[in-house]
Amino acid sequence: MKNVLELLEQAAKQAPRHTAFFDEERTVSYRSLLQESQAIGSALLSLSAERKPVVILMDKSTRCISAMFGILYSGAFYVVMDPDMPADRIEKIFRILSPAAILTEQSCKEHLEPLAFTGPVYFYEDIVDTPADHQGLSTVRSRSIDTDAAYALFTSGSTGLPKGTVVCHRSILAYSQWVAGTFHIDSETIFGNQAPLYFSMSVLDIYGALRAGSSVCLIPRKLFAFPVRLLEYIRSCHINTIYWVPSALCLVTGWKALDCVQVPELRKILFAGEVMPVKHLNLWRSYLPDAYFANLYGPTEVTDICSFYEVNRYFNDGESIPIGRACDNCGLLVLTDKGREAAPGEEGELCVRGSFLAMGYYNDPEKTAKAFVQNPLNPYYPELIYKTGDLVRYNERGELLYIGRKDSQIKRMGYRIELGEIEAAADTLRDIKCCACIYDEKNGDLCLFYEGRVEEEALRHALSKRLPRYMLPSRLFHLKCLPHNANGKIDRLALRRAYQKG
Amino acid sequence: MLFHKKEASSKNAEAETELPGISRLISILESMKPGVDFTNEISLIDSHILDSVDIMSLAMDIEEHFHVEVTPLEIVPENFQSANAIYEMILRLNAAR
Repeated sequence: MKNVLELLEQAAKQAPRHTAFFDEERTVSYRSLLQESQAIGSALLSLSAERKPVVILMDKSTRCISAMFGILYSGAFYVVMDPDMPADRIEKIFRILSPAAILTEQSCKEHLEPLAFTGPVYFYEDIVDTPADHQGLSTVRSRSIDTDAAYALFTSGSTGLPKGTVVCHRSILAYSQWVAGTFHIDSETIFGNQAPLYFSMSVLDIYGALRAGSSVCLIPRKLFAFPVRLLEYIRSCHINTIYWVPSALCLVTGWKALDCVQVPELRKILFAGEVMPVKHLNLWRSYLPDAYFANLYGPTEVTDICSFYEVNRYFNDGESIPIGRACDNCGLLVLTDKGREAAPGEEGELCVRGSFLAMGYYNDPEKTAKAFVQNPLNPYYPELIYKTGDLVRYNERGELLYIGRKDSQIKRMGYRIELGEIEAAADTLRDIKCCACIYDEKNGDLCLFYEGRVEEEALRHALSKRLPRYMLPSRLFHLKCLPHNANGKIDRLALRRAYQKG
Repeated sequence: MLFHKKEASSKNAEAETELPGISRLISILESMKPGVDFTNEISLIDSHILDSVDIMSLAMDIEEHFHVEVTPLEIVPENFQSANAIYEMILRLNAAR
């Protein structure tokens, strides 16, 4: 196989009437999904955008899924973006990307207006009924190869500029094979998708399903604030497999919602994106003692996941759940600062090699070269590894444990945030002398300390114009003077200590 | 609820015997999300003004200020669409005490 669309075509051939994706609005079979995708792809052929990016500005829905595959049919690669993102940030991404077109829908029109984009804009409603141009589509397919980009996902950038991770067809094919094989995904599997389609976790749901001919329920986002309704929805949709961020799982157990609603069909619970609190894992296991639980770990730059741990024992409060062992067909290295392999039990940076690796960051050779480097253990031929920036070590059982970050990237509610991006946004205000952001993990508070005569209101406003909601600091502290260390850099440790003292 | 509680407010909550009025609720909402017209807004959930984190935080504040237990069955969109809806829920929970 050389193109992920072959997964769709295979599934549509084997079980055309089987449900592929469904949400509150409608249910789409594999055959319908194939037809819609080919229609959209045919409409986009005139762009001649092979191997070029097409941005999707749509809300999560079965329509967005068709849009993604439609773009692939035209030979381009898709870039799903959050329509709610501030226009300023969308523009930043557009400057990096220079999209060949935007694919949107009528309900997202207002997000389009403030943008300075002058290229072609397609509305889903206008193109979904395009007659399929099978000849045109197969010509494009004949030219596609497995290392062509399938999608790019943008993540927070420490200097203020988001980074667009480009993933090719080959990686998704390799990854989806691991997903289906490891978790025994089949046509009976019904996924309950939580991850937005612009986050890498959605790749497991979408392509895991496509590989095995499963169904994916796109759970309405608002239900994640209402745990009882959420569980009722899961029950009524017969969802049996979920892959959620721990924050979403903790919402359910935090509210003891499983006391109110039973979900006997839910049998597989996978989680990733942040550290899973042991207390909540134990609660989930006590409610669903026969279910399968696994902790998955990996950055966007390795498609989604590179290691996993199947929960098979009880954990005490204070213990940390391992990130486990390498995925099949994925190589892991723990390297010290000197570039040699860490000794057993020694701490080091986790590096990944193999087909799951992304191609790099779109239009950013500098950042790409820093993160994707030659394997220092291989002096014989070019072989790239991705440096995750995560510190890990092996425990006595040979399981990998996550220790922490090398830098100032944090995870909050499962979202990846570079504290530097928040600081860069604050720095755009002329009157900000300097600032530093720290994350109070215990309370989930993002705290911004700043020096300079700025009205708090003006600062909040400036930040909301530049950063997505989940990156907005919950607390702002004005200081006459930020502490500096001997190097002249802002002493974040001192800030953190002072903050913790209260 | 199993979520950690925020530090207690400065006022001695134990001294209040009467249920605080809706104005207390509105001031809690306003300090949580400054700039929103909570007196008139009737679509707090549908307009994405309050998200899942806000609701959790609000439920904790409600328990603390109104001395009611917010049960999971009450965490439904209809109860949070407006300050009035939230206060009606508080009255119900207070009557059930």
